[in-house]
Amino acid sequence: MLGAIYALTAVAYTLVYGVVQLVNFAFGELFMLGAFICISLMLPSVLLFGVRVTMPALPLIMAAPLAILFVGLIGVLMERFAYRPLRNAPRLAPLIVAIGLSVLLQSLAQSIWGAEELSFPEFELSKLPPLVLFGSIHVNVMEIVVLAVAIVSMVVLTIFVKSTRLGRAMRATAEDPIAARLVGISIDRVIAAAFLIGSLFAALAGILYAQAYGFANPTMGFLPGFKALIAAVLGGIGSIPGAAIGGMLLALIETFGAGYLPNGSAYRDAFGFGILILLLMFRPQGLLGRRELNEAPAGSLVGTGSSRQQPQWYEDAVRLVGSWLLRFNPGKTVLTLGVLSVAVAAAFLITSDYWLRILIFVLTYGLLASGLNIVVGFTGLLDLGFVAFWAVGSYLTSILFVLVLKQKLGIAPADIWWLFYVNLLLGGCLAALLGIALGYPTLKLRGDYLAIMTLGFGEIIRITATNWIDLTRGPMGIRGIPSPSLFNFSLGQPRYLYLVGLALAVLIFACIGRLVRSYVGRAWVSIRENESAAEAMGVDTPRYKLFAYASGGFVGGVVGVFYAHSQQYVSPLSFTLFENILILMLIVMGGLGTLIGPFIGAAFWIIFLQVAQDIPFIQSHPELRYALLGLALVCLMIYLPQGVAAKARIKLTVPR
Amino acid sequence: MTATILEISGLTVRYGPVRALNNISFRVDRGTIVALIGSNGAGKSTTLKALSGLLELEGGSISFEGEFIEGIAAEKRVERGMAHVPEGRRVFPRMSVWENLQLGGYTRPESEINQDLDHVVSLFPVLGERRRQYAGTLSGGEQQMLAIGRALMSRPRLLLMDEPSMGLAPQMVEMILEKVTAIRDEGTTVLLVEQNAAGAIRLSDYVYVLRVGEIVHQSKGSEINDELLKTLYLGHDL
Repeated sequence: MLGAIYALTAVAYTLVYGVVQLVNFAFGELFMLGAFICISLMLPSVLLFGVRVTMPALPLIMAAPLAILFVGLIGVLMERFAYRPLRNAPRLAPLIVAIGLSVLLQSLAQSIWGAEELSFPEFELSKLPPLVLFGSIHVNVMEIVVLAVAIVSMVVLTIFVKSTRLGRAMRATAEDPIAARLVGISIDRVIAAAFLIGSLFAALAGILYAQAYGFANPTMGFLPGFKALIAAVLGGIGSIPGAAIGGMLLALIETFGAGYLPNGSAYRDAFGFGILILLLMFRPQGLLGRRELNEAPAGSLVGTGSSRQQPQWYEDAVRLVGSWLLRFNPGKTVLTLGVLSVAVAAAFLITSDYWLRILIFVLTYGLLASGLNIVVGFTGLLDLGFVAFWAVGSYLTSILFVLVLKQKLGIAPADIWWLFYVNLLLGGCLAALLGIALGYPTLKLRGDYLAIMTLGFGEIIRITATNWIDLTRGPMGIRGIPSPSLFNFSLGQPRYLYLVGLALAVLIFACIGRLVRSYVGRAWVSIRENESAAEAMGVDTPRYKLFAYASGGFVGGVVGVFYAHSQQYVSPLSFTLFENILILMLIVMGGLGTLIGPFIGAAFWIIFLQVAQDIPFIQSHPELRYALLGLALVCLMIYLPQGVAAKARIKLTVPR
Repeated sequence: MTATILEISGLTVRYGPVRALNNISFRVDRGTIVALIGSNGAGKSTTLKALSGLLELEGGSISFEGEFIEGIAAEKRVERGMAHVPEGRRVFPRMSVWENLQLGGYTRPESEINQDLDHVVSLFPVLGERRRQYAGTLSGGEQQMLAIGRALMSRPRLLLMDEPSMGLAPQMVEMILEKVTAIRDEGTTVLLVEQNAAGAIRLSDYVYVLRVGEIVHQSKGSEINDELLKTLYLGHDL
């Protein structure tokens, strides 16, 4: 039954990918919205934004089609306003927008319906006594219904794509959009139709899921959505029968894995990711897919220009601001020293511990973003599993200090204060090793598949951290990590912590700066701009990609150690996919492939969070901040794809 | 019915900073074959893409059957009776020959598609024989026939053809060019872009020669001899 639900959602991914070569991560959220809207329509009244609204209390048979249509409409709007402006944009932009939309929808749903579950009012199907076949096989009526709905809708879709006029137009657009226009197909309409049908399927799957499990909550879409994506890849993305087979297979593997492997049920969710990784390593085209889908189209992932034609006033404004910035250009050294002295002075001028803690956050996130920036911004590899490195650093030092030294060996942390500094290096190196280990299997992958695979790695690490209780204490986290100290002098106060962070930042900043200006940096950027061309020019791309993962990982590990000691507490909750998206967003906001961008982005975000806390409406709906984050991500990609600090992108070609 | 089916004036197209077409004007008479010839980079394909709507204009106007169409989307121009056989054929490789042709008739009412299919098959019998085959498995010449057939499925009054002889064996080139004449004789006007200048001049009623975005010569095909052609291509008169 789960297989049928995965398969239906997988169809959504596959259909849209087939037509526009885009992984629309937001289908997981449409899945969730389908369930929510359907339930809301069936209830006599619902709390929306905390206000009780009377609802029609329709029966399921009427509520479900309405909800599905409504979600379809959302899907079409999404395509119209978020994806269409980016149709000719560099590859990274729509992917980031997809992530942004996903965050936006999820947080909006949380604001609207609240964070709690909404339970399914009508539950008769699952209460019916199971049917007994051949005297021994018991089958739930619910399961039969789900299976039947899934099979019927997929058969209908297959026939539709195979032999109707619009279906043919869809296949034609998938094969060659320009030729499709030349025979008179309006590709805007065809793409909108693909999004519509995809959204309908996602919503249908969501309703079936909610009906089967009896509830809906704002995060319910994430895992099934992601697994559906795995199923789509498993079956070969772009192939409808592939999606069906992939969905069933994935559900089977999960069920058997959970049932037969020792401690399997705890790691149930990791199986899917594990399979995905194996699959992408050995047969990236999936079971029924075609080879060429793994190939990223040539052209920069980041791009150089604005992603679409802007109105004249907008161009003028950007140019004007640019020229002001250029006029204010007191030389690099002076500027750097200036910023640095302001930063140091801040440590002594700011008296409130609260604001110093905020600055520490800015530094931590800025550093993390800098690490990820090596991988994404300079080398152009979209990495959604970066938090894993951060987690490794944090856990390494926490386990050593608290679980091993303090509890097993009984050594007081103050006696081995120097271990913190050793751990900085150790954590960095361990994370770098992990970076190489994780990077190695991804070497063959490009573009979207790479993003999916790294996402899988990140989730595996998180699931491991949650479930390997002996090592990490699972979801309880590890408490009592000592603050850093120098000889007998504790650096635990926010002021000193800030200075330690600043020192780290300066060190790492300088290292990255040197690195990207060297031949290594040139190799990275060449990979980002055109990997095939770089390879053809003799750049040893696997080596430099691994180097990028290792360097990014190293930074992540170092920051992880610092983070653990400054927070004095670690738990798997800090290392979610959401954090990774947040870090990615910071870089995008500040400017991909710039040195200062990550810090600017971090400063913007953290200070925004603080300011937003004072706005009453946001106080009552804290999730709205994340909705704004998603919205900002989408708008940035459309209107300012180069980020705020684009002018500071390092010029590797020196004008003479 | 007026004699002129297409009239272009002041057409200018830019690729970023490069001006690919600079203020060109010409016209095409109904029921004729008009050839645009010139060397690489002269702007021939650019002209066709601008006409069919794949490129945006920087300036100028396109009048088709007395109406200005420069603001209309490419797919709408097909409905108006203009079809483009693109450079490199661009058939849909993983769809059957039959599906390719059906897509060619996308803008036509379903009821008339079968009739149009018969017509295309009578022009290119080989397409009928291979109707179930994937278009990607056809030979180059067959793909070119399919591309032309697909364009004819929309019942165009003006057919834009971009280098139909490119990459084909000499025999096949002859055959394709013969078909172009046949299409004209059925009443469809043809605007032909060719590298194969000799072949194009031989079958055209009127010839325009383009060089770096400008028209440098126009005359009846019969008035162009080898000597003149060399001068026009190589630009000794400048």
